[in-house]
Order: sequence, then C-alpha cells, then structure tokens
Amino acid sequence: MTTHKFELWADSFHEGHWACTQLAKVAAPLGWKHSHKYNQGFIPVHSYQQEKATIEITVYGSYKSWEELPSQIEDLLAWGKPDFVLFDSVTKKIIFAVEETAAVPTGNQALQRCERLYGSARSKIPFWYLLSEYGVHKDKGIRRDSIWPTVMALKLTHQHRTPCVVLHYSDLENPESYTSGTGLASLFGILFQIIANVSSSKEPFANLEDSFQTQYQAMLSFVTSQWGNIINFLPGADHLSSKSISKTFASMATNPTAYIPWPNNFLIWPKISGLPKEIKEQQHGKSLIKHDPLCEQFEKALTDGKAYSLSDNAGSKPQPEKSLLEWITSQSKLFKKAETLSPKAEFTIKLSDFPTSTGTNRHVTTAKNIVYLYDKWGDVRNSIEKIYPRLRGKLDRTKDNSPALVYLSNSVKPGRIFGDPFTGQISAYATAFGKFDSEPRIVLAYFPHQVHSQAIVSPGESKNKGITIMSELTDYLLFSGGVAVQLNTGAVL
Amino acid sequence: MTLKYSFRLTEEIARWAFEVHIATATDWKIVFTNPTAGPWKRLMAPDSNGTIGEVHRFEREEDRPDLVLVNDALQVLLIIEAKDTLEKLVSMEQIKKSSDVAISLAHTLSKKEKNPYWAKRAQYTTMVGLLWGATEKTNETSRKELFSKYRDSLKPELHNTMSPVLLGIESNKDQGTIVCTGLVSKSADVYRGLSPEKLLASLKL
Repeated sequence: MTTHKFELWADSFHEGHWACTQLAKVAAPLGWKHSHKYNQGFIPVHSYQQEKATIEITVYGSYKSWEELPSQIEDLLAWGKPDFVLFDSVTKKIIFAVEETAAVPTGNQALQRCERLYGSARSKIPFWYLLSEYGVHKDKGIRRDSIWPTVMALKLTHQHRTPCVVLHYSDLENPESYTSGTGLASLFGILFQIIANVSSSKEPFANLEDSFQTQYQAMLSFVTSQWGNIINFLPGADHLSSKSISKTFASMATNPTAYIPWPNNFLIWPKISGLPKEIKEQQHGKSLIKHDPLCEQFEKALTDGKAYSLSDNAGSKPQPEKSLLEWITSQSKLFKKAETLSPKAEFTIKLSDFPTSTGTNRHVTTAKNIVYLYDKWGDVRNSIEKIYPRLRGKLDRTKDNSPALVYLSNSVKPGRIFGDPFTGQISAYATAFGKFDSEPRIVLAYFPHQVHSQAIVSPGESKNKGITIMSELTDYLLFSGGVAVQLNTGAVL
Repeated sequence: MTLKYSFRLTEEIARWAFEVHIATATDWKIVFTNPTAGPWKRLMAPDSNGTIGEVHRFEREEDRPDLVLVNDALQVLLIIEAKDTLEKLVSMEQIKKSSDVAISLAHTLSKKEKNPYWAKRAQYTTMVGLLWGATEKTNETSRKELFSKYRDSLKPELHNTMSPVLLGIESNKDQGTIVCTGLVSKSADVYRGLSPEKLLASLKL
C-alpha cells in the first residue's frame, strides 16, 4: 500500500474542506473510499483509499493563519490569492490552483479575480476558475457572465502552454446554483484525475486530453453564445465554429513542448485597417460625463481614426459628496507627502470638477469607454504630452509605432486602484487585448483621480498584489497632474 | 505531535476549531458560517426529513454574524460573533454592529415559520454568543466587562425575544491545538426552561 501526501492550502478551512468533499463525490464511483479526521483537533485530513493506494490531503485553511507557508505557495499568493492550491509535499510542486466564487457575475465582479489566472499561468501552474454563468442582479434581473475571463484564459493557455480553464455552474432556470450546469462536476472530476495521476507517478495530465477538450469546448461555446451581447466585434470569430479548435486548446494545455500555432487572427484585436467596415464606421468620440482633458483626447482619437473602442457602455456610479471630499483631501495629503518632481506637478483635483448627479451625489465617470485600442503608441504619447507638457521627452519614443492599449479607471477613493476590482480588470484587458501578442501592445493605465505616490514602493516595503501585477502588465501608469510611473523600473516621471 | 507548520490564532482558526468541535462532538447544527469566501452566504438548515435547503440569503453588503447554530432538542438558536481576541469584541463600534446583526437576524428568522427548512424553529429561543481566541486564558474581569456591555446593548431584546444569558466561547491556543471553553454571563438565569449549565453541557464545553 502506498500513501501519497498532499497539502491543500486554502483561503479558508471551509473552502479546503468543501473542495475535499467534492473530490470525494467524484472519487466514489471510481472505487475510492473517503474518510476524514482532524489533526490537532482542527486540521482536516482527508483520505481516499483504493486497494493499493491511499491519497491523503491535509487542509491548511486561511493563508494568513500560518507562520511559514511553503515558498512556492508564498510566491503564488503575491499575484493574488486563489481559493485553494494543491501542493505535493513530496516533490514540493504546486499541482494546481483554483478560484471559485459565489459572487454574481455582474459589473466589476466578473473581472475581479482575473489577476489570479495570470499569476498562476505565468508560473505554469494549471488553473481553474469556477464561477456562476447566471446571476440575479440587485434589480432582480438575470445577468450572464462576461466573456473576458474566458478570453483571457484561452490566451494564457497558449502563451504559457499550461491549462487555464474557466468553468461555469448554474443555468438560466437556476441562477447561482452550484449544482446546476456542468462546471462543478467537471472541475472536481478533472482535479481528482490529476491527483490520482500524480499519486501514481504518472504525468499529471495522462489520459486527460479528452476531458480538457470537453472543458475548452464549453469555454468556446460560451464565448460563441455570449460575445455578441458584450461587444460588437470578435476577431477570428469564425474559428469558434471549427470542430477542431477545442482539441487545439487541449493540446496546447497538455503538450507544452509540441508546436501548436495559434489559430490565425483568433482573439487578436487588429489595427484599425483590419476592422470590419461597419465597426470602423461606428467609431466616434462622445462627450464626457465628467470633464478630463486627456480623456477628451482619447475620444477624439476615435473620431480621428487613430484608435477604436469595443463598447461605450461603462456605467456611471455617482458618489456622495461627503465621500468625495474625504477622498480628495486624502489624495491631496498623499500628493504633498510625495517628493517634488521636476518639472513640478500640480495637484488640481477639486470637488467642483465633479458634476452633480442626483441629490448630493456627483459623477466621477469621465469617458464611457474604459479601453481604447490605438494603432500607434506615438499617438497616445503625443496626446499625453499635449495635455501634460511636463512629460515632454520623458516617455519612450522608440516604440511609437507599436500598437497600444489605454485602460481608464475613474476611481477616486485612495488605495483602491491596487486592489479589487482594478487589478483583475487590468489583468484581463492587458492579456486579452495584446500585451503578449506577437506584436505586443504598449499598456497605459490612466488614473485621472489618483495620486502617483501610491505606486511608489519604498526600499524594504513589501509590494501589494496590484503593484506586483501592474509591474508586469503595464508599461506606464499615469496619474493626476500628469505624473507617470513605470513600475517595472520604479521610475517616476 | 509536532506540527509541520506553526499557526497564528486568527479569528478563522478560533472559529473553525469551535465549528469542528460542534460538528464532531455535539447535536448542534451549524446553519450558517461566515468565512471569507465561497458558497456559504446563505443560511441553510435541514427540514424534518434531513433535506437541507435555503432559509435566508444575506444581501451582498449586509452585515452577517460569524456563526449561527441551532439545537432542535433544546429549541435554541445561537447567533455568534467571533474575533481573534476578546479586546476586539469590546469596542463600542463592534458591540453595536454585532448587537444589530443579532437582533436583525433573530427578527428575520422568527418570521420564517412558512419556510419548510425553518418552520417551527421560528419559535425557538434566540441566544447571543461571543467567541474569541486567546493565547493566554482571559481573566474574569474582562469577561464580565464584555458580557455587561453586550447585555446593555441588547437590553431592549433580552427577556423579550432573546435569552438574557449570553454565551462566551474562548478558543485557547494550547501547544499545537485549540481548546474551546464555554462561559455564561449569568449562572443563575433560567430562561424558558434552559439553564446555563444545560446549555454548556449540550455544547460539551
């Protein structure tokens, strides 16, 4: 009898214990008997036994509750904390990581956890994201999940040649129900097979290509049926009807060394000349809700044929005046504390900049777009230098002909931009729109209502996950007063 | 037994150790627990056939208790607030928040008699519990202060819809394990036939 011991590190004991119970459900029909006990009276230890083998999984819940985590787990958590991570205590390798959420997939929630997909993929850790396909919104209407986590996962699968899978539970009749839809059973079915493979010294994905193909097919079918509700153009959409594409993705995920080309143009957002005629004709700048001179330039770029956007339906969530005043005061203090720059930057945010909405609320939304795809970084750079002359000559000109992505966040509350949902959004958009395509886009994140000092990490200070993620996924962060920060070098311009 | 990894006595561990104790050693049912994430934002309970179903769903932004237990034999509902230390339970802001949550949930559940998974439980006695972690045993003075402040905060409801007895659960870190100890605010009160001693005995504390 051999026993293979694993550790399941989890966001909470419940999460880890729940995962082990789900594994037991899929293991039972395969002849594995499940039992569990508690070490030290509270640490769950789950055993799955067959005639000649035992798999033992010890749950370590609540990452912050442990003095010293395995370094491999610690490294992964710096990129965002997955809900559970299986660690092989023999080989000291992470076997897989999983994020699952009961949150309704509407608004910011849909992209909120996407940095965890990126963090795992870059370390070639197989990752699954389980979320509800249908959810009940506050207005009691039914909403369906966004395509961006799935698009991101498809691109990461290719980029890192490792499984990055999004699975959905629930259905239209049973929104938010874990037991409806195929996602839950599909997730734990494949996870248990991987565990069984590892415990019997086989390759983790041995004999699992069909299972992966089924999961990738589900992802592609979801994109097929949902993209038209989110955006008006999906590059290479024709590939979605190909019978072989799910097999291609399964092979990419499970055969890291085989040469498997990316399906031509699929999910590669083109330059303007490659847009369908009707999409090109739709590109017109619109007026802003709250004035910002640089956002005005972004909108003008749509009219001038220098950039395009995918939709312009970012909602406005007006904020109470009292909160805005507190936030602006805090931002002002942060600005004053920061080192003086040359040329000098000015803090100019004031309450009266924000137009009144209903009651004592004020609009903080500038443009209705939060993503602009430019053909040339040079056009973005010129606009920035026009509005913020202090940056003239400071931004990279050598990449002027590279395509660029502009991401806009209107958040005013200090500190939020390096937390949820913004790090998830940036991770999803940067990956989906080409940061790692064969002709990579320069990524600029613009925060017109935030102060640059929040992005500066002092020597010896630990980085938060937002700064860690943005160091790798952005080229420039641009803040109020026209201060740019390059997180990968630490330069404040 | 030597632990492979050393742990800190966080709220999660203090609460989880008590949950394991309840699930493995008592007849109490855990109908709601509030870890950081996951499919547990609903209060779920078994009907008379043992089928578990939804009783109450908390709104996204709604304050929730940390743990809700029910005992059908004693006909008691226990709403628990947990923190990693007793000191954190004593702040006035926390006392108001926890009291409001307990009162609001008790009212909500008392109107659920038509829910098939709750039914007669709508009539059960509600008690408030306070759970904290401790690396060294707390003293009686600090526990008395805690109970006194919560009793003041809950006063309009005590005797009326809630038991005047408050339950304290201290999760002590002892070597590599956690030992849960039960304490009550007033040892003499018997409310609706339930004495504090009987309550502690049922919880095996």
